[in-house]
Amino acid sequence: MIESPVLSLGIIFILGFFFSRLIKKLKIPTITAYIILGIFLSPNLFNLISENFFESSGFFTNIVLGMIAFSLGEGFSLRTFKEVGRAVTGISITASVIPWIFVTLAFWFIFKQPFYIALVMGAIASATDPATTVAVTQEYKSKGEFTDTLLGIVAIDDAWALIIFGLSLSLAGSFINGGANLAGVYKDLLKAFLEIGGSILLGTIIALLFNKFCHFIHTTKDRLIYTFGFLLLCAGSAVIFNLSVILACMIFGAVLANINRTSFDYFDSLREIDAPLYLIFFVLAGASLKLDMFMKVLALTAAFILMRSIGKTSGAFVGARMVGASTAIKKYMGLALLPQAGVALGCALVAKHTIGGVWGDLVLSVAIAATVIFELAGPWVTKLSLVRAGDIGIEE
Amino acid sequence: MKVKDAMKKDVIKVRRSTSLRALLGIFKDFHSLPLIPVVNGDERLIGIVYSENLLDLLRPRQTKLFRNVPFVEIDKAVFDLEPLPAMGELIITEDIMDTNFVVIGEDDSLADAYKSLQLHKVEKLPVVDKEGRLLGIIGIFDIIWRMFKEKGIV
Repeated sequence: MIESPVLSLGIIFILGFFFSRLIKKLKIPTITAYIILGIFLSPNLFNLISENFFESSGFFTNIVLGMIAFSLGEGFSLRTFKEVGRAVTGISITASVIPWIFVTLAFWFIFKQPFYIALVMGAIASATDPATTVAVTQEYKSKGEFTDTLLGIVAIDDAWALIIFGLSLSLAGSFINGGANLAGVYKDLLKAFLEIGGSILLGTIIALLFNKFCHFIHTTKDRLIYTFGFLLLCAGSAVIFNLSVILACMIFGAVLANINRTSFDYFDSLREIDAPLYLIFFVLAGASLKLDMFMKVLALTAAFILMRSIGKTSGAFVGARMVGASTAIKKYMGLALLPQAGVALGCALVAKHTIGGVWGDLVLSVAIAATVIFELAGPWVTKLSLVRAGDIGIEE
Repeated sequence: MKVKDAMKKDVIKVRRSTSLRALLGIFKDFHSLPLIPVVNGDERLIGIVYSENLLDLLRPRQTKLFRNVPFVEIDKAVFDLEPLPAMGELIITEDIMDTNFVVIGEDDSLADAYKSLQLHKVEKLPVVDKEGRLLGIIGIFDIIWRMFKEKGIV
């Protein structure tokens, strides 16, 4: 077993590189490859990397989640909403909110899980996987109204998902040791709202500071250091003040995108360093999985997959109806939105750290198991819906 | 030395209503022209068309939308679409121009202009006055030319 953290990182990077190459031949997405690698390296299986290293995953989780939230915040500009239009915005909201409500209610009432666990699982259900969706539309050269709407939705709906998750986790965090009586519930709610308000305030302040001093940037290297520095400042302050890293970083990105004309340069600069961080992040996610737990949560995983699928299809249907979209969009959009990957896992990892203990492991295990299934079946389902909608021609 | 001492003043510019066909014609007739400014009635700069914006018309829609969505790899393939001839008139400059762009002020120093060109990885920058009206355009070569002229070489 390797104890040195530096050597561990080196091994994770190199194995990650070759493993993703190997597994790509099997047409399995990169993120899944990293998760599987994490499972292999973890104390569960080959025990190659010490447990101490994996215990430190909170450090990377906060940085990477901060980066993901910040990038998605860029999509929350007036410009983006104008570009994607009213219909897409409407469907993206219902297709995120309704699965959240569905899974939460099902886990709470039918599967008798604690309310905060149900809430977090519900929030995880709203995330989708833009990467798979884009890859499928590109591979099959899908085109038409359905494809355009679908791409518009997946471009912005993970931002909704992160907001939902941020809100849910703040609420869940307050309820973990929550009061049993009504006064206790009010106190918990107040705590959650303070956390949410504080995160929004923090993100806004950081964005304003960023904007105020950005004229000191002279080179592209400066820009990367400045952007990354401010991002860590935002995520770190959120941790110190017990606020939501996700909400704070997302608001930081959103405010910046709206007040700074050249903000796209800052968002671009982070792309230079995100790949290795994402790799570590997903290997850690895989390694955090407790295999014995995995077996115990099979029923819950099946329930999650079922309820999320129903939630997505009905959510998309309701949204499409509200905005007066075509029949194909009403019928098949929910199906096309089923793939799930990075954002869901990121959320699950954060939830594991926030909730902790057995319940934390439960959330992560269900999320990983469901993600792997959605990730493997997702592309096929998306393709099917594109064919049904008539956007992929059937080859003779 | 200031930007206004080195910039080119005769700028080729278009209106937001200029058709795609006319725009392509302008790009074609000028040797190495990385950008065309778009101005409104009172000469205020409202957008910029880069050759990249023209290429986007040949790519599947939403390429831009996913630029910073995590984990998405956009295949920047062009030629995947089959544009219709009517696009030439149906698409106007406003549909494709970038409304987020970097400018430089006429009274900024040449050193600032140079820095800005490097920082934003662009070949040319539009020059504007305080009210945002387009006055000229400045590129690396304009700066080089001005420096050589200063030293008496040209």
